[in-house]
Amino acid sequence: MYGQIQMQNMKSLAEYRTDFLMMVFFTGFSQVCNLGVLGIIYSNIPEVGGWKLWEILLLYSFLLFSEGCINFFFQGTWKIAEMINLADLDRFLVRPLPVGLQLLTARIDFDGLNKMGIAAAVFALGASHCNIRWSLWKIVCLAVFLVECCVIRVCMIWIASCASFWMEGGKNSLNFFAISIGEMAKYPLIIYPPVLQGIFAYLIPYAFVSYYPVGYLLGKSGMRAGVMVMPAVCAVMTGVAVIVLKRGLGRYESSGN
Amino acid sequence: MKKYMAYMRCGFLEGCAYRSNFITGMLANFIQAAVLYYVWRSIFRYQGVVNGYTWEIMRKYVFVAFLCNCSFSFGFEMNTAKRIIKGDIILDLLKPVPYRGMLFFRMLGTAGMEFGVTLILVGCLYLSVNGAAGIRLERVLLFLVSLFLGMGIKFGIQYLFSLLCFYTDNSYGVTKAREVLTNFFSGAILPLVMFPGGLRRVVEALPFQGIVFTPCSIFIGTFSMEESLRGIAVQAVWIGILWVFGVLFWKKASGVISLYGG
Repeated sequence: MYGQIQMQNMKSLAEYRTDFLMMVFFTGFSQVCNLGVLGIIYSNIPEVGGWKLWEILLLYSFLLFSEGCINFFFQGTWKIAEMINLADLDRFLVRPLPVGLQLLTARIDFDGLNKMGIAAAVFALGASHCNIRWSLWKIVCLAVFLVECCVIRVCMIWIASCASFWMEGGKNSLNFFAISIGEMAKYPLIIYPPVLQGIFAYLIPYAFVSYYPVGYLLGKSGMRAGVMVMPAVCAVMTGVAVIVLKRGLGRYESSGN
Repeated sequence: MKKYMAYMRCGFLEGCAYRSNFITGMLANFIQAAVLYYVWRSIFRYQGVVNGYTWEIMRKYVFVAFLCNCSFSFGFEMNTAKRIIKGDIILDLLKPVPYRGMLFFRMLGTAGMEFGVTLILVGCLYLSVNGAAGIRLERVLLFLVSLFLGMGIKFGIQYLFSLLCFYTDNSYGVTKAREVLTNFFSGAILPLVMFPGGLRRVVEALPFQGIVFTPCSIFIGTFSMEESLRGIAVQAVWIGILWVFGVLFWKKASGVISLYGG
């Protein structure tokens, strides 16, 4: 079912080809600028918080990959807030399909594919300079980590968007906020003071999106515990997301048409 | 002038009404500033001086750059694009006020609101981190002049980008590109002195540095008085150049508008 809906989305996108090409160009351009910032910082100094440039690139690629994954597969999560405000959700409620599935597939964005591509290139570049001892176990880990960090991030945006159920009128920019915080996860966690770490790395579990998985792959010390907790974090986030949607729908009063 | 004042008021009120847009943008910028603050802090722990900047200077730079970047943040490309697509732009063109003048004063009004809010926030942060020592009156005055000119440059650039929307419907992409470009080249993220040699020369030949780097350097005192005045002169020249480009481009772009019905 998911596949069918997304196919329809793709067809509707094919209408706007120039727009799509421009988006590809702009995304590539802004990623180059972002990487430029990292490059410039590191052209002046050897390492930040004990992490070298190539290691930071791995952090970056994890973040970018999960972002691209959201854009491509689950862009609908972004639209939840808007749909609640405009009462578009009504249409979904009367269809004989799970609301969650419909929300996830409300939109598709090819930009995400582009981002995932760039992320893969950045990862390859970083990894080739990092002397990671690759084994079958590590490759399995990598795949699992990528899935887990995508799940965590989708749930984050999902929960933030669903907050609209409780907010009367007005815009909900929590989801945008949740994405912006990702900026923090581009750098190793240890450079932040404990309070910020507590809020932005564990309460909003960004530590598990980039810091722990990459640290584990690099074989840094103290990462094992974090990695072990990751599946639990995923489960909790998914659970919360499901509950929030249920409760929210229970509370939902359409603004009427 | 009275007409323009009315637009300025209108812009100010508009800014107050659509504050969620501004607050979201500011939060994103603020997170970035906070991240950079901690990145630099960890760097300066084991290296006293980076490219002539010490931790004392950097600490000020991060906050002042944030202030410069946040005022006048509200891009109007999206708005222009929407008006073009819907055909409302004809209403703007019919008014007995030049289109560009109207845009400018509206934005100035909005910028006033943004500047006020950010100043309070950043002012408190700045004072609690750096203390009031080292703030000198003549530098503050020059800073305000330079900041104002920086807004002029930013307006010129945004205006050119908004005219691009006459050719494409993808206003989101245009806005994003402009944002990334300005953030990177204006010094909002990194002080331009950190840029490596070749890139540095490119950056100095571009107008973007006038938006954040020049006012910032004047305020925190890394520019000598002579350099400050020269920086301000360069800003003024760029405003002139951008203005001419704006006029030329407008003539071309306004020719391609084709509107649906009346």
